[in-house]
Amino acid sequence: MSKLKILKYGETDIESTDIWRFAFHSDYPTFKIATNGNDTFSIASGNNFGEKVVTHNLGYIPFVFAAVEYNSKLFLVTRYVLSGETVPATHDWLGDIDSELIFELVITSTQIKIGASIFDSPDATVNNTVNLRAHWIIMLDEF
Amino acid sequence: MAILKVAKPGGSIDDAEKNLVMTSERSCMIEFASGSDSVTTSGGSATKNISNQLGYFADYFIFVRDPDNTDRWFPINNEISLNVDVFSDVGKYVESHLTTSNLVLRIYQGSEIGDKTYNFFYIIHANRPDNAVGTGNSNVSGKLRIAKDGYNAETETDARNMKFFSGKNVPKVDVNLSGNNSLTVSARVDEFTYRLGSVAINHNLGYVPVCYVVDSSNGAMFPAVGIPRDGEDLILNYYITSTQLVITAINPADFSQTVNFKYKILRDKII
Repeated sequence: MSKLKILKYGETDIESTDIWRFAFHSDYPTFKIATNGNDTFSIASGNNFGEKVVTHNLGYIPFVFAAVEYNSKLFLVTRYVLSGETVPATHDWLGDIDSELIFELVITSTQIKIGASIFDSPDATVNNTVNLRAHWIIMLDEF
Repeated sequence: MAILKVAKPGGSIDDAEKNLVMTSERSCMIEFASGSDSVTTSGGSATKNISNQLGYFADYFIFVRDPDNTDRWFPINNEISLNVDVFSDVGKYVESHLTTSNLVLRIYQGSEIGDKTYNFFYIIHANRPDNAVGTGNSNVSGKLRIAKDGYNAETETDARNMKFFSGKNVPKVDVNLSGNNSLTVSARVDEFTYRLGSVAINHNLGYVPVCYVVDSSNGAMFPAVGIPRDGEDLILNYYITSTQLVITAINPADFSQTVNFKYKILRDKII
C-alpha cells in the first residue's frame, strides 16, 4: 500500500515513526469540513437565553468547532463557557446586578445549537438586548 | 478539475467522504501556529497575551498544565483543580478568548492557594471560525497546495482561501486509539462534599497528545464545568498525560449518574 507523507519543516526522516513530525500522514485522517458559517443571534431584553440553531442533517454527531463573538472578542465554545463578560440584568430578589455571559453548545445528528445565557438565570433577565454572533465549522468527521 | 483523495489504510477512495483521510473536495483544518508559553499568577490572577499573527478571528484551542500535578494537561475554559469540597477555595479556573490581535489567556485562583506558574500549549488555525475566505495575508507555503473553489492554488497567498497546503500542519487522528466509553459516579458524600469519578484510557504514546472529548448524548465538547443550571449536572472534564487520557466527572447530586463519552486522540504533540 502506498502512503502519502509530508514532513514538517526542519524534519528530515520520512521513515520516522514519530507521527507528530509530519504535517500530513495518510495513515492518520485529518478533519474535513462539511459546512461552515456565521450569523447573529441575541438574548432579547427581559429574557435570559438566546440561541442560533444550524441544521446539518449529517445523520450522526459530527466534530464541531463553534465560537461566539461578543464585544470584539471571540470565545471558543465547549459545553459551557464562562466568558468573563458581564451585562446589566435584573434579579428577582437582588434587583439590579451585572451578570456574566455564558456560552454553550449542543450537537445532535441533525443540528447544532450555539446558545448564550446569563450566569444568574433563571432568576435574572437582561435589561437590554444582547447582540452576539455565532460562528461554526462542522466537520464531516463523526465524533 | 483533478481531485486528490486519500483513503484510510485498508479503505478505498470510493468510501464515504467522512471516512477518507482527506479529499481535495473538502477544506481541512490548518494549524497556522502552535506553541508553548507560561504565565505566573500574582495575587491570584494572571492574564497572558499571545500575538494572533493572522489579524482576524481564527479558530483556536488551548491546553493548560496543572501547576500542582505537572504531568496533567487540561483543555481550556476550565476548572482544573478537580475539587469536591464545596467550601474550600482552591479553584484554578482558566478561560480564554481571541481578539484580532491577541490570543488572551486569563487565570483566576482561589484564595487558599499561592501564586502558581501555568504552562500552556496553544493552537491557532488559519481557518476563520466560520472558515470564510479573505484577502491581505501572505502566509501560504509548501509544495502541495489545494485552493478553495474560485482560487488558484499556484498563485494564492492567503491561507483563508486554501483547503490544504503542505507548509502547515493538519490534525492527525489516531483512529485506533480513539473510541468511546462511559463513566458512572456514585451519589455525593453529602451536600458539602461531592464525589469524583474517573476513567483512564491508555495511549502510551510517550508524549502528551492533543485529545478531544465529547458527551455522546449532546455532542458537546468537554469540559462542562461550573454552570450548574439545576446544581445536579455532572461536572465533566478530562486531562492528558504522556501515557493516559483521563476522563473525570464530579457528581454534585444525591444520586448516581452516568455519562457516555467519545474521545479522539491525535498524534499531534502538546509536549
